[in-house]
Amino acid sequence: MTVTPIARPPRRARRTQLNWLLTALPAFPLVLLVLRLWYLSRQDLPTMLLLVQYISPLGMISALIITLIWTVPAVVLVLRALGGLLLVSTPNQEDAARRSLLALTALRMPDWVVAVAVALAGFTWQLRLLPTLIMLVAVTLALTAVQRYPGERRMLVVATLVVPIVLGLIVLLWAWPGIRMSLVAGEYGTAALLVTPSLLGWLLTGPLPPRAARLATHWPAVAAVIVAPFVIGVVFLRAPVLPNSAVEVGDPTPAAAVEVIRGQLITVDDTATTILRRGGEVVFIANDQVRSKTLCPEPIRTQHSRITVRGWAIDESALEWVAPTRQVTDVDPRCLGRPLKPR
Amino acid sequence: MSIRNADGSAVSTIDDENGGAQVRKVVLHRRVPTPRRPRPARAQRAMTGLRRTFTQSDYPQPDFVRSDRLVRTWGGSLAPWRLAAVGVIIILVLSFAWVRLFHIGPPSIEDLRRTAGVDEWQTLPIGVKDDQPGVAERNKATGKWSGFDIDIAYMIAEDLGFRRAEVQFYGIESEDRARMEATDLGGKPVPVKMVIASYSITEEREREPNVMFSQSYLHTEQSVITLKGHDKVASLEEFKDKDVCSLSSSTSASAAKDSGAKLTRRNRVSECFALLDHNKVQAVTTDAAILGGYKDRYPTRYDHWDLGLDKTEAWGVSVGANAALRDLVNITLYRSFKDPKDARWEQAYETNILPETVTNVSADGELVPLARPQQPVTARPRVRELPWEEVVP
Repeated sequence: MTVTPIARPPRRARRTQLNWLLTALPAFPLVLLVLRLWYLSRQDLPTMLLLVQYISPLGMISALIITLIWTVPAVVLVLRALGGLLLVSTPNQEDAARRSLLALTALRMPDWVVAVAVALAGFTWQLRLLPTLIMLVAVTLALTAVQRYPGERRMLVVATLVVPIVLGLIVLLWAWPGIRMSLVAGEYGTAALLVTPSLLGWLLTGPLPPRAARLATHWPAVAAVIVAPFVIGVVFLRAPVLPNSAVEVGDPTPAAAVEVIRGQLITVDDTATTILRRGGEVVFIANDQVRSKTLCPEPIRTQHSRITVRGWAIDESALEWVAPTRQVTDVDPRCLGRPLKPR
Repeated sequence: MSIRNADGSAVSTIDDENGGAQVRKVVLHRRVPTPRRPRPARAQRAMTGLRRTFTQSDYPQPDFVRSDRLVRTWGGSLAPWRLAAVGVIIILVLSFAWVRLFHIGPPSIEDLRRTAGVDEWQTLPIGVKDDQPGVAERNKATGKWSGFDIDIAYMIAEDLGFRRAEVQFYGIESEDRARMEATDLGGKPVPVKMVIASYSITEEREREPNVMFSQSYLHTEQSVITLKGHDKVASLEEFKDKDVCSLSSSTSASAAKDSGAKLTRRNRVSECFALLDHNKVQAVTTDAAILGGYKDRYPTRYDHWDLGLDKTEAWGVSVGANAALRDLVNITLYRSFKDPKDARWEQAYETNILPETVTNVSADGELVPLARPQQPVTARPRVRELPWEEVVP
């Protein structure tokens, strides 16, 4: 009696799924842009068409990039670290890669992609996220070492324990003034962001219990993939795509009353200034009625935290820190809906 | 093909019977009885399963170490701790993302401004008293407003984003404070956005439909003022069956009524003083901070007396029914209370009330307390503050 196991046909289903994913991915920003306009027009089709007529795609895309650039390295690095953790925890890498898209991505991801992502994150992530970035780098390095050189025990001790611990200590020492300041100010969230990565980094450099590994890495990644479009959508829906401005409107005679209209400036042509007010209402103001105009800062202003680490404000990225900024010291009264000159 | 015996005779087989079709392989399905092992108790099985899930199983280490085996055993002793660390990180990431994205919890200042409608107001009309020196008074000659309430009003208006020229004060009488209806100089009624008019916070007033108080900005007490030369006064009972003037619908009026005095109510404290000057009433009783201003202005005309009343009059800002505006006012008061660099309350006290404390000496040489010289303790308003945002100190 012989029983011959019949080999399963190769699983092509996953590959076709991947192809579909790659096809759908470029459509996502497009959908985001259209959704943003729809949201801006308060679901009113004529208003939306007017916006489409005047808003330049380049402006929308630059708003998209500026708002969301930090998410790219976040996705890449988290995928690499989680996938590496899964690869290291399962006995057979190929098997893990076949079973999980996360492991496959981590296994196939070129090193230069990780390097570029780290550089991008270093410039665009806020200071309070830099300890997390350093932890991610250390963990990725260590996991790659465990993955590729499993026999080199001495090197592995250095890569998985010494390097993360030393890096963590350096980060803790460097961020210590900020940690103390945020604890004194009662900002425990900031303190946690500065402390936790350095404490937990060295712990994530090796295998998880094999039976729990998939649960702890694959499924959180799947959940994140499902949630990510919504999160990115919410972040982008809040990003401004039109300049906030305030316009003083009144008859040209000096004694006439002046009204201030606030909203988003759609366009100015030779007869009228078109403004989208907060409620989604479009107003056309004849140009000879316009007395003055001003740009207004963001309606939801990011509150600049007083906490700094060695002179570097906690909510600034390296790029923001280096690049010159214009400090908005006081709010123009027109942006609060009051005429420039009180009468 | 057929099977033959040794002598060459054909053997009858199944193949022959079904016309030459040959069976090449026969698969027999037979259940192999597995030897029954003693099954461990359910709890024991669960424990073993858990242990296998959360610990690295022990692999026998052969001499020829295979690479994948090494991967699995490398650092295996820390594996459960790693699992815990991954769990901690997932929870932290979830909570941060939740707070950051969905703005759960109390409103932000931006939300409050929008709800209160502050951004839509061109000017900020405030109802104040206009005849209480030191508290709130309009100089009839220059039209200039001054006093402690005025400074507090400017402080609140500044935080709301109004310049001084955009703040409009209107005189308001005590009975109109609950309706938030002041009068302009021409006598026409004007609705105001808030009332800062030596308005004591009481439960009874808070129950009224259109009255909502901020936290208190000054603690004072009730006192009494008489013409110079009056006998020493220590309690309101000494005015039993005598004429006493007080402000209508004020807290001091009810205290005076309880003491059995013949109460004359006036809408303005200046009218009470006019009655006193003409000897129509024996005394005027209301909050010490108000009377202190008169005593300071006419030190030779009046005697100011401390009363043995332990009730604190806590003045608050009434914002009508605008709860968001109340929160904004509270944020200003809290800032001024909590932030050591924010000395606006202290300056208001020093310029308006502190000079009066020196001149307010009763006839027997004792200082009459006017108001508590520190800003009342202000609780932290519920305003959203992300872990890294600094809205309120």
